[in-house]
Amino acid sequence: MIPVCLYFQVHQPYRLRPYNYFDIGREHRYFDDDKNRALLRRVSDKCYLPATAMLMRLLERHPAFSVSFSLSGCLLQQFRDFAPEVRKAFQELAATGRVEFLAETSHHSLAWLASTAEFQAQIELHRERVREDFGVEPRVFRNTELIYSDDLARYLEERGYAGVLADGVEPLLGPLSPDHVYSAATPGGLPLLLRDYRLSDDIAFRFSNRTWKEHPLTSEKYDRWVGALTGEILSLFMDFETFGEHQWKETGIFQFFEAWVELYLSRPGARFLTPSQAIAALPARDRLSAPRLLSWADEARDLSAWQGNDLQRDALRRLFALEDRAKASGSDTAMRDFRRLTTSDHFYYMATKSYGDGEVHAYFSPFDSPYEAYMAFMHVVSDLEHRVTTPARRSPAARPLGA
Amino acid sequence: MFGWEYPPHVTGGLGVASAGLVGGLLETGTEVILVLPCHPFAAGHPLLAIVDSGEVAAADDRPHRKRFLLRLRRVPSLLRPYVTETSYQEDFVAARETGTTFRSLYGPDLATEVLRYAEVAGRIARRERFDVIHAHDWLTYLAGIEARRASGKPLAVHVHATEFDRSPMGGNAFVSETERLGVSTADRVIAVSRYTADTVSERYGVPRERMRVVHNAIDAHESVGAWEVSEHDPLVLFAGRITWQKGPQFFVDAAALVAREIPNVRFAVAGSGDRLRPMMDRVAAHGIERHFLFTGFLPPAELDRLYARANVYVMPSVSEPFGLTALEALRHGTPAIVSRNAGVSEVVRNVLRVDFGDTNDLASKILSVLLFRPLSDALGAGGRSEVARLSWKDAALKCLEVYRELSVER
Repeated sequence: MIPVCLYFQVHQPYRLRPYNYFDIGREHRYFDDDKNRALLRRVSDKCYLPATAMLMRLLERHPAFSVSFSLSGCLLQQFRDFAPEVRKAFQELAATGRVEFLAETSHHSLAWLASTAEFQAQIELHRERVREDFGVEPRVFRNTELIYSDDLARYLEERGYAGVLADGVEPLLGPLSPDHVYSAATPGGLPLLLRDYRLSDDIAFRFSNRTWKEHPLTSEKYDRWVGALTGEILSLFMDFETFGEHQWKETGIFQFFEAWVELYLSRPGARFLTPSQAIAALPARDRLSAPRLLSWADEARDLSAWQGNDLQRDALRRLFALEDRAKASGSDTAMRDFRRLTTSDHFYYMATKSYGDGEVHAYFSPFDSPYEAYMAFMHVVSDLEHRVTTPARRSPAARPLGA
Repeated sequence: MFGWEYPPHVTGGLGVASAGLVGGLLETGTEVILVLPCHPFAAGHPLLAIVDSGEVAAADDRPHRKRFLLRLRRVPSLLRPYVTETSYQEDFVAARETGTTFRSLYGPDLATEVLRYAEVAGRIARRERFDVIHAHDWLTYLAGIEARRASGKPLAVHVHATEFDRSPMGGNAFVSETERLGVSTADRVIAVSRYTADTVSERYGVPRERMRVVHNAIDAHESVGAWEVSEHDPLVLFAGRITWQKGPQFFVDAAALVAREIPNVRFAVAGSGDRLRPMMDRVAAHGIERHFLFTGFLPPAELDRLYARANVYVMPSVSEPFGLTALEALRHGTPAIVSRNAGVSEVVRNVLRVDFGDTNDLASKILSVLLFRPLSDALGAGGRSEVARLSWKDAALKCLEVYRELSVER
């Protein structure tokens, strides 16, 4: 049986409150604490608590079961503030010693696209937080939304990471199977673990889709598909919120997954490997090059979900134009707010793709439209700009058209 | 088809929409007999016949009141498609003074005209050959009902607005009762938006299965030059009838907030109506007269030039069945801010929406569009391409579908 590598992304952003032009210079609270608390409570009840409990049962029953997580720093902070029992549930998983925690940016951010210095700073912040909360040192890196390129791999290799995760998409793999460990196009050939997006999305996206020809997906059927694979490692990477949030518990997602793990582990030689174990145990195959940035999002699997239109590009540019001033300001709260604004979700809400993917974006957005998302973000950035440049002085947010 | 306004006489969305729909029907090869109260102009299309009901009435001077079965009490008020307190009289006087083609049919009492139009409709219906009757807005509902009675042909009434949109308290009883009669007698009710369908169904108790939504549209046209008024100053545009329904006071209040932030901003108000004077008073009360330009009613070509020049179009209507002017602005790539409930927002996504009374939010959005170039570009380009996909022919095809349903049911 092919070994399986499970990795779950766990993240919630700090969502902005309604913030209009006239709040600039007057209101320095940007984030909607009530909404963020309420959403975290809801996701905790529907997903985090029952899903961690399910994984704990599997870990207790099966020594060959293991799992890995990437928990964003903004979520770990929100656990502390709003849901300490969820933090505890993850700590209990960590205590089994069979759960790996991956490295990422503290704020699930787009920093790699804008500033290496900020990227590095956020990785450090995240490392400290994971060490504090779980007592472990992350060794394998996964960037926000599996954003990946050769440059990123080289950067990580130079800093001693054991490996990196990416999506197993055609531009990277060509005709090759995603079910092996590969080497990045770097001097040292950094090990690369690739998401098998078909089998991952069968669970994460298609599981409850009644128009899918394989619906309903049973654990037996899924096990047959896994059993038919000929590669060396099956990487199932998905949002942890798949359990109970993206796929409601009424769809049977919990029972399906638990039953499949049981069924799979009943096969001879079946075992789960964490990313570090997979990298250590398996040979790194072909060298794969990604000159351009890839990701796991939308149909395009590129950056278009966050940087696909002028609004998104303008917002990122305007935000990072404040980086140096925010750092120089010496204000912890200004720096904290700056970092919370680097989170990819803010840019995702501004996507204006109108077909297919656009519907997915709308589902996740707290805003009425991408334009509302952009306006709120830009007003907040304007206020932050005032805070880190000339405190107490007020000037127009930008130059009017034609002026 | 019974209409009230048709080019070259158009004072608002009803005239534009009727003309658009007639054009769309002709494009599909449908023959249209268009009955108008007064229209001494050629039809200009082989499939279109225009019947001037005034001519019919004049040619037939026999007493016909007995054959007219509808009995309605006349109210001594001045009415027009867009009922306001003084506008009808103003128009009437203006038309008489300037010697334009407004003739006897538009008398000082519009209720009389509506009833006379209806009487003549019966005779026209007996004389002409047709399959379906289509009547636009309350002014023509009685005509449609008379034609239905006289011919036995099915009637579709087209609701471009209701009296509940036009007036805060449900407005004029003659108008609303005429509307009630029209929508309850008709075999089908066509509404210009889901918003309007909801209004008709809630206010007049029309079952939803008898209603269809056919959104208004807009056709492509030649690009026009832009007004060259203070080219370097940001320009915010309000266009349309200046009535309670259109929320002019919210525009002015928001303008005052915007003017504080952008000293060289300009506001153009194109249109006229019974709230023009109160609107001007409000501008003066805010002390922002120097930012304002009141153009009065503009002919379409001039209005187009203003749309093209404006940096943002604002439509803060209290109640807006559709809001064609927003499509006109978007056709020029001018970003639009519209009321959340406006029917037009059911067909375009690239607009900003506001609650009409939230002037703080409205001002914030005007400022955002003026200050953030990528926002203004995205709204303009996105809106323009959405609008380019709309056509009156598609609206006409939906009407044809309604006609077919009615023919099958007969």
